[in-house]
Amino acid sequence: MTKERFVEQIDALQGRLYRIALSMLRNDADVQDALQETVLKAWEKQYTLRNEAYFATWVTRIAINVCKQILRQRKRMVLMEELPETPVTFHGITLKMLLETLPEKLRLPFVLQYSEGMDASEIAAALHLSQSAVRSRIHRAKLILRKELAYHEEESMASR
Amino acid sequence: MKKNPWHPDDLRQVFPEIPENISRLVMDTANSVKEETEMKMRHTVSVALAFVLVFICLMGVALAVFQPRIAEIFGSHFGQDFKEWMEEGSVASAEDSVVVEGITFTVNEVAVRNHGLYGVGTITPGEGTLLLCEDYPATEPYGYATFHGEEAPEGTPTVLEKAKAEGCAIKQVSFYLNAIGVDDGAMIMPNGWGADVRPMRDGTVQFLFEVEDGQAVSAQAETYTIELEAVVWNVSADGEADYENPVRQQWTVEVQPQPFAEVLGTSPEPTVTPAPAAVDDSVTQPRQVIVPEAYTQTGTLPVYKATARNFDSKLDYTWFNQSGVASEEVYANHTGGLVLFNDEAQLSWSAEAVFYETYDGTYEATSFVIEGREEKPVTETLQKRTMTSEACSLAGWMHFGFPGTDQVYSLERTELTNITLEEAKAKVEALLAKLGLEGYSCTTALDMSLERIQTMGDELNRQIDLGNLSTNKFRYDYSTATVDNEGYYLQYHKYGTEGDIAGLFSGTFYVTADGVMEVNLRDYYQPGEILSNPEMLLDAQTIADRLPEEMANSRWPETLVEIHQAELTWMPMRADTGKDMVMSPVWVLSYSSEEYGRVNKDCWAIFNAIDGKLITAIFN
Repeated sequence: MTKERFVEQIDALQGRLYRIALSMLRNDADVQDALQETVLKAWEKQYTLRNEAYFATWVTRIAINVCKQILRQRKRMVLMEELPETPVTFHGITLKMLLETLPEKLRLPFVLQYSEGMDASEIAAALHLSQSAVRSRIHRAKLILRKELAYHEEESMASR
Repeated sequence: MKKNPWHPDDLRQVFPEIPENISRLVMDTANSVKEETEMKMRHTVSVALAFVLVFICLMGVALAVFQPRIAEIFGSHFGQDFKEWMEEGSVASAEDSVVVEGITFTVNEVAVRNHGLYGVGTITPGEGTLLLCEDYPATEPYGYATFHGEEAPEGTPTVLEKAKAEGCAIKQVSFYLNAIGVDDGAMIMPNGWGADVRPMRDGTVQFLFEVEDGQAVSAQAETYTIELEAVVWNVSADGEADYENPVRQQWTVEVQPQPFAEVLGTSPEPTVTPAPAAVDDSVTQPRQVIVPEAYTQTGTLPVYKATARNFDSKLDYTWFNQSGVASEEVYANHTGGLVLFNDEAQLSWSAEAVFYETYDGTYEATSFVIEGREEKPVTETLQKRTMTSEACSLAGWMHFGFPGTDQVYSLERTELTNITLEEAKAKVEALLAKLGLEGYSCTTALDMSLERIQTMGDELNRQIDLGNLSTNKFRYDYSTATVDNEGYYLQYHKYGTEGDIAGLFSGTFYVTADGVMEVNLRDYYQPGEILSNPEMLLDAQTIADRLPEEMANSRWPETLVEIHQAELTWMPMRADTGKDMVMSPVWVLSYSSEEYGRVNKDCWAIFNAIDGKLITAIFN
């Protein structure tokens, strides 16, 4: 891959990579480190990419692995206040808070599908899972979210 | 219409657009990469590849790229969840072999996750040999794992038929896992380990092993050393294995596992721990805390050097029985022996265990063997235990949960016709003293009066008739019991009463007026000199707060319900460096957990009291 093509591809993916890194690391300082390392690693290891058509999934996987390494090194408990606010609320609970109820194992595939529009095969390749595992985790994530939402809906109606 | 709460547009708002400064950083980084590096790297790769190809041509060695299959294999047996769980650990290619009787035993791969070590291997026959898995009869279809659920097509020849048709010898094969070492430390025999052998279509045998034992398998080590034993038995033309004459060969495999993702060529994938849930004090606070007296004064306990016990040179047979020795066998290769007394009692021992039982004649027992696909009854002659020994067995059922009812019984009488509880304890403690064992205390006492022997014996027969206990033990007429059979069932422990420690230092005894009539004793290590005195130990609550997170990391979906007890005691473990063992302070937590809607009350976990690391647990 030429450098020009590489830069083009990174430009097209930077939003996705940012959102994925933010969902895992939750603060801009760590996200900056993660994205920088991801870009450098992607360039360094591009000879392992067999088909340029899979560049997006391949770089996503690198980003996820880099974020996990940073998480291990930092060992931080991230406060919810560090996440950016969102105006979207459902019965008093923000979508951000709703996503926080999910363990990362379920949150990541869920976000990759619903926020980034990746399909099960792409997510499976990015996370080193089988497609059935991806579907199963997304399904479980939705069950938990629905349960949380139903709980807050009841609370909200009871307080009226 | 109700809005979908996770509409992509809304989700993207949770994580906003990439800020300008970060976008600039990303693009600056992308623009800074050097194309010369790319060309240089490709050149380097090409040169390296060329060198490898030349090497292959010169040496004739096949180049194999390691693509681990162990997680997939274990996943096919234990489920996709287990595969994924294992893949968050580390893996190594072993390809380490030993040849026994022309048969090659190879450990292919080893994986490690938490305190679990897993292996897969292949047993390959030599020329003119067909392999038979242990426990597979030669009348089973060749090459099909029928005991594992595979269906062989009609007409598939059996192992016997194929051997006859091709003029091949049949050899039965198996393996044993003897010990595990970590980072050049002491080799430890695991408390238990799982094994599986199954025939493959190509005539080889696949074997699996798994060890989940925190004492033997450290969670994060560089090198794991596994001591295995390959076993081969000759099989006759009739399909009978010659179990009297096994050919054994030990071999040691050493591996250095790397994270799965690293092996697969992506960025290193460290184990990701789920974010720990907030600690709920009402759940993690132990209801009871037990500590040695020394701890209450100093807040710490010493670390002792530990040496392995060896009963071999310690036993005086007259401590157990005075009827005289009928026969004696002392094992040459493995420490231990077997003594038969004139009154049919038996004393047997190994380096770290002693057993004594009493017998009275024989009886004909019905067992079953599998011929073809049918179970056929066979009669065999077995030794019959004395009524005293049977009383001990009844007491065991009453202590752990009676068949059919699961009811547990407790001490009712401290005096029986010819012996008191205190006298019984004194006899056991005198025996322990003779054996050089100190520090034991009686943790369970159950009285077996004549009335109890007869009542519970009849109840046991009733439960057998109801089908609640499947056994071919002798059917006793408990009305023939006498006051001479009365006695006390006693359990003694030294370090803790739960988990693996309890198994390493424990004794069960049955004592009548005639003496200690039944012994089942294990004592693995002797504490020696003090090696160190830690300044402070972690307290019970600090340790208890770690339990939920450790449970969440395990492969089993348990939830903590309540911690009954935290006990501070010692446990043998590897020294930090070298091959020594030490007795080091640990906290033993006894707790209840919920799994799949069921509450388990007999759970345990053992933590290092110095650094707080989980050593072993029921979920590990």
